[in-house]
Amino acid sequence: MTSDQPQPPAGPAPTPGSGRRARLLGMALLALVAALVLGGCNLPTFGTYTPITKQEQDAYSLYQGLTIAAMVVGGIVWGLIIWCLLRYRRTKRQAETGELPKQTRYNIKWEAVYTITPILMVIGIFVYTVIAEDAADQVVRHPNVTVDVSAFQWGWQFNYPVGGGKVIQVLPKRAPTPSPSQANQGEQALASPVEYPIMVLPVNKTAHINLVSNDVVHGFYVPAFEFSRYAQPGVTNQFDFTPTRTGFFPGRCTQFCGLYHTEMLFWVKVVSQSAYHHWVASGGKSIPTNTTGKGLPEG
Amino acid sequence: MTLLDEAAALHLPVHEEEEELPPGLLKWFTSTDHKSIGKSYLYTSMVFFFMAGLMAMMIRTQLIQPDTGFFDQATYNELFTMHGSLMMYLFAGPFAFGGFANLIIPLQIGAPDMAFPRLNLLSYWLYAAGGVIMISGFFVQGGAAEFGWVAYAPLSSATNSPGAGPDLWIAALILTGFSAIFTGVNLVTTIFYLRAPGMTMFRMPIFTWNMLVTAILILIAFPVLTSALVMLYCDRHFGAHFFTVSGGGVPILWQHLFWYFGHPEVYILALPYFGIVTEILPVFSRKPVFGYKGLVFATLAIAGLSTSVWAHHMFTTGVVLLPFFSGMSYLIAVPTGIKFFAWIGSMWKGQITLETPMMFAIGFLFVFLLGGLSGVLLASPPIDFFVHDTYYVVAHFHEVLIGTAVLGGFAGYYYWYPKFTGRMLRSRLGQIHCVLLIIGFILQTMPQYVLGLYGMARRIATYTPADHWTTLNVLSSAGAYLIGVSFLFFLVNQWISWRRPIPAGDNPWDGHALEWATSSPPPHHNFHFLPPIRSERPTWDMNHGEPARVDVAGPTGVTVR
Repeated sequence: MTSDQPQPPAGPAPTPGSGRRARLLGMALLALVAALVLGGCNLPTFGTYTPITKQEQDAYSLYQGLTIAAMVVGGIVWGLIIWCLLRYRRTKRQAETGELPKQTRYNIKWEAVYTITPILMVIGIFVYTVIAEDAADQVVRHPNVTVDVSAFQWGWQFNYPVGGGKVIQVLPKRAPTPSPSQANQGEQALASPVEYPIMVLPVNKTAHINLVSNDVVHGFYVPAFEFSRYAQPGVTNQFDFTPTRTGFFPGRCTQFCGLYHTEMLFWVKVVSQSAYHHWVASGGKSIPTNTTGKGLPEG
Repeated sequence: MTLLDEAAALHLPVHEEEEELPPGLLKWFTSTDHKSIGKSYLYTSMVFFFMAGLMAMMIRTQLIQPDTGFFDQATYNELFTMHGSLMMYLFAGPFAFGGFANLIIPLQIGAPDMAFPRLNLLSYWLYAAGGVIMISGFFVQGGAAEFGWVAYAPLSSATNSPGAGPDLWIAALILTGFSAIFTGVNLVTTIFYLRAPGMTMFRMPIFTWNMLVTAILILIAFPVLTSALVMLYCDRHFGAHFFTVSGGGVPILWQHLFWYFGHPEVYILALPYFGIVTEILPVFSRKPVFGYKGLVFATLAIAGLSTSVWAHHMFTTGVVLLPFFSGMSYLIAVPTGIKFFAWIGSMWKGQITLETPMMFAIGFLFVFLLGGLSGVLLASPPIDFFVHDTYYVVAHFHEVLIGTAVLGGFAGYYYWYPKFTGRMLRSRLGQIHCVLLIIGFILQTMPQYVLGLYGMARRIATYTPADHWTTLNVLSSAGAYLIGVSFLFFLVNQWISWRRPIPAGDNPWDGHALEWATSSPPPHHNFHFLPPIRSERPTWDMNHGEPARVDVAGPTGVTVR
């Protein structure tokens, strides 16, 4: 992260007085870098969840690094603007005498600096992005579990092919499904509570998800997994989850899909491997498969 | 056209016995004068802006607490669809390429009018009619369109979105699309053929440069949108299957076509306002613009790149080449960075005064930077997977668009208001407007970043207390109301300026470009005389009596004469 810190341009035309400023700025940057390095792996999360799945660990580090880089760049640019506002205000004397500042038009040296520095930063960010993106989209050849997810207006169906031609089906107990012509009758259609479906996954095992949509475009999104993917008609999207701890996590549709987009929720329950086998053996009945409540992910 | 022709064009009817213009409303209906059309555009788009702003406050009222039930879900869906559509199609674009471009560009290049004045008026009326048609969606059975401003197929099909509302939405956009295309043709022709003698390309003000590039982008992007809309209409009514799986069509094609328009559109909305800010910062720093050619090339680079980044809106579709679109998107940070440093360079060692336009321009720098930096994060596909279609994205594009179209746009409005009305706006009220707007805006968007990271999806009509999003939503709504309050100061300022005018004079800001060399408001064909044009700021040269090139720093940074 620290390798591509931007070199702040101290201004278009350095003067003898700017040496001290440049040194101060350099020291401040050094202090920041030191703080980050000494902070080690305890970087702040910057408002996001620490991801549960193995696939998103690199993306999470990239997010932390890029957020820090953005803050540093933003701080420098804001700092330069604020400096201009504080230092270069027109004085009363200048207003009275009509004296004008030097009419500088170009400074090729600084222009080159502020062109080349962003290019170098962008190359660095791009390399890390490709690494993280490959991890997030990596699909193993022999997953431990396969789940076929189909999205529809307005709910989710999870199908577990468990071998021997048997399929465990998980469906919402009651999804909001008025026809579009009923749209204006509004909330009445939702008088009784909807019971959202639960996707059960074993901890530390790789689950392979096949995602499709039966009607319009939906967005499959589990905030705690830091992952979302469109469910589209005619396209099967495939990805893997390897959850690293157990818990109960909310998921929802993010791509606007019509009247009851807001209600298109589901849960992901990550359980121990023995509990998962028990659940499969019971044909998907041993774990409570519905709930009407919502909550933040555990941890 | 040769220089001689251009000179001849300049001496076109500047007769004092100007043709009797019809009075009042009839003039507004029929005048082909670019200033009249420009003002029509400016105020029409402002009306749409206020309507969309009220919708935004209604949306924020719905979300201020969990389960407010202020609107039912269908109404809420209509509201955010129309908020986005009005802001994107009827305000942010036409405000700049209809309003400011029409008003200012002929003045900045020393032309008597636009190249095709009647086409210009046709553009305006297509646009106004499109706007009325879009609003009329609220009054038909089934209500206005409910598919977001992007109208993703197959949600926008006849089965999933029946009724007249969506059809009106499509018809409105086809009309405004043609309006934009005609305006684009007009702008390109005007800038290439009607420049005054001496006004070479590299002496054009940056605003004119940016509008030229914007017009070219309009010609690239809007025909694609307009065709896609015609295809959608055929799907809905004539049994075509462009976007439906059942007939062998491809729903994702809509996203490709839409974003092939949509991303250049972002720069169609941004570049004019970059241009406005580049006019303002040097004037109120009493310096020439820093790195003029760098800025021009940066604008061209942004425009070029903007045509090859559309699929960064589609990272989570799983069917686009992630590294290519991610890399191209990152590259846009480079010319944008160049612009930022050129703006800072323009202020550096200047003599800055904080008149209202300057405050708005600086507000633009602060706010747009926030949106730009979160944009770099979003250009990374694995990070986009975190936050795609959440409030993080909502916060990002509001910072980008309010930074440009609202802060940049009103900077331009305060800056050029004296020119096209001959009156000043009150400075103190303008400054209060600016400060409240920026505070309200930061208060509105910063909590939305966190909400997005906490998993709050966009376009949801409500949430539950168990989501723990309430506090942040209260802050965000408070910010939205503060923005509303700030515009009351703007309206009061307008009213005072109307009732108790302060004459502006020709050049109240000691401006640089040609528009400040004529009277305020300018005469019928703009100029009775033109100052010699020997640099990119002829009016400044005329007023400060210096030869055009005093302190040109050579390649070594040395000042040469």
